[in-house]
Amino acid sequence: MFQIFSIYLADAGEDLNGLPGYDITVQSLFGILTGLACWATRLALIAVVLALVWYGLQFILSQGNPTKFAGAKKSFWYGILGVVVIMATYTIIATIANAFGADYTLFLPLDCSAY
Amino acid sequence: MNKIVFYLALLSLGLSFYQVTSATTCTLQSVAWDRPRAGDKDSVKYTVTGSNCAGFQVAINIWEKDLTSDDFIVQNTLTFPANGDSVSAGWYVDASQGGDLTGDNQFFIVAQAGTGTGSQVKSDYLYVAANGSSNGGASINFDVNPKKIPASSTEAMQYTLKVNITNPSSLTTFCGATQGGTTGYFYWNVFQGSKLIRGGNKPIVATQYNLDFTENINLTEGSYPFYAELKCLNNTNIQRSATVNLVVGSGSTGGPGSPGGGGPGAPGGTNQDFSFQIPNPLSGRADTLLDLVNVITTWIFNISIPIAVIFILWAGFLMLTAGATPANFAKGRKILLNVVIGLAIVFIGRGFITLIQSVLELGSPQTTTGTGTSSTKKGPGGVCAKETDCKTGLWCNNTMCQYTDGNTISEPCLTTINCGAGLVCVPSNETIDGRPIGRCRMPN
Repeated sequence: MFQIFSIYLADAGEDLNGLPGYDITVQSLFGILTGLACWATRLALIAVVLALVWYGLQFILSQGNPTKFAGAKKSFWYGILGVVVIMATYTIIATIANAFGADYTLFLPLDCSAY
Repeated sequence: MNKIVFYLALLSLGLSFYQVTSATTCTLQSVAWDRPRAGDKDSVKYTVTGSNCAGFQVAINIWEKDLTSDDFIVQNTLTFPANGDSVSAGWYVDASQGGDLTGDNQFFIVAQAGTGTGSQVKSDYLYVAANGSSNGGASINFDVNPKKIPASSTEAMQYTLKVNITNPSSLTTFCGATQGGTTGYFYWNVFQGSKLIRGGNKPIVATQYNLDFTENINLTEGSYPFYAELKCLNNTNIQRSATVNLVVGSGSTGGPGSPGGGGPGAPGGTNQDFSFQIPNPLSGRADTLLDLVNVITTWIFNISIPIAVIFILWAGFLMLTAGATPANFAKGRKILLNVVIGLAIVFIGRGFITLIQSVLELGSPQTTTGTGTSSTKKGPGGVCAKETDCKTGLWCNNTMCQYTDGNTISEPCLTTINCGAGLVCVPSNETIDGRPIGRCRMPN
């Protein structure tokens, strides 16, 4: 019984040849996640530009109104911190990896050339 | 998720069960000659491999196959090294012991582990030309490709047939010259079972013959043996190749060779232990439970990096757009903190185990799991390519680490060149770095 089972397992790779469809492997999962991360990076950079322009606009629109100006200033500093976090994504991971002795040059930065 | 955990637990239970059962007994896997054919008075080597056999003794019996009853040749006892699953020894071939007058002597080994009654394995035949015949050192290198073809379909088979004759004039004498001439001839035949596939004859003039050919065959499902043979014109056997098996169809490939029962000297009527093995369906080097865990861990590790990137970006985005809702800034900060903690745990990973281990071992350094950077320098007898491969005080000579003024008595050597002045290298049964070595001795 086990032998039959093992032969089927061993032959599975060959028997799939010629069938329609696309070979999906666990590498594809890694690829999908990397692709998502790469797109998230691009979207975040667009969001940075939009947000900074928007906060600049808020300073203009405050027109000397102290409450609005304080709000705009607060929003702006939050935004700056957000930009720092987004820009420093890889730095954060590399810092942690370095602190715990992992060799981060193996996986950082993500290879976005294919996505 | 619970289901996944359940199946993983089941898998690990099964694997560990398999490991525990096999760990208690030494299971011999194979015993093999280092070559399929040897000449008379050759030194041949044989290797016994087993699992969980470290430190076990294995009894070696060498037999010679005859038509009626097999001849017992010699007995030997080997001990598996404490950290290895294979042990080798040498044997000096003496064709006269085989007793066959014509054709080939077929020597084989029956290895039996320790005191157990089961766990017996048998080697393939070592062919040695019969005593007294001098076939000029004729040897055949025969192969058939592909090794597996579909059933009932016409396939082009590549037959590789190379004949080497060390001493053509000796073979001419052996076969007899033909019809008054001075040149002898030999037949070559390729058989599939008992069916002749192709044959021909060649004058015995050269030392090498290349007789490769291609032939279409169409077979039903099954396993077919192929072999090639050389004969004199008067039908005297010169040489026969090892058998090559062709598997036709998707049927049984024979499975793992079950240890041959029924070998000579198998004790009858006693309890016998049998072990069976499920062949590893994974080709990714995952042989043990820890290997499997390692593979899974590596993948989780790889996946965790892009996930961390995505979440850091999300945290940054939340903080960036927190202007209107300050609560989002706190949320982003919390996400960032959790990502950092998560990454820290991922990076420590297996470090936790060694951390706890080192705490329990009172911080003493680990000896078994060293990275191997400090102890790669070889001692006397180790394989080397240059002097820096060897420990201080040794140099590399004849691909072996040795003392600069030659090794002294009972130190390892490959040839006499490794030994000090006046000493000779005497072959031994030992191996260092996987190759057989001798010991330097005083000449007799």
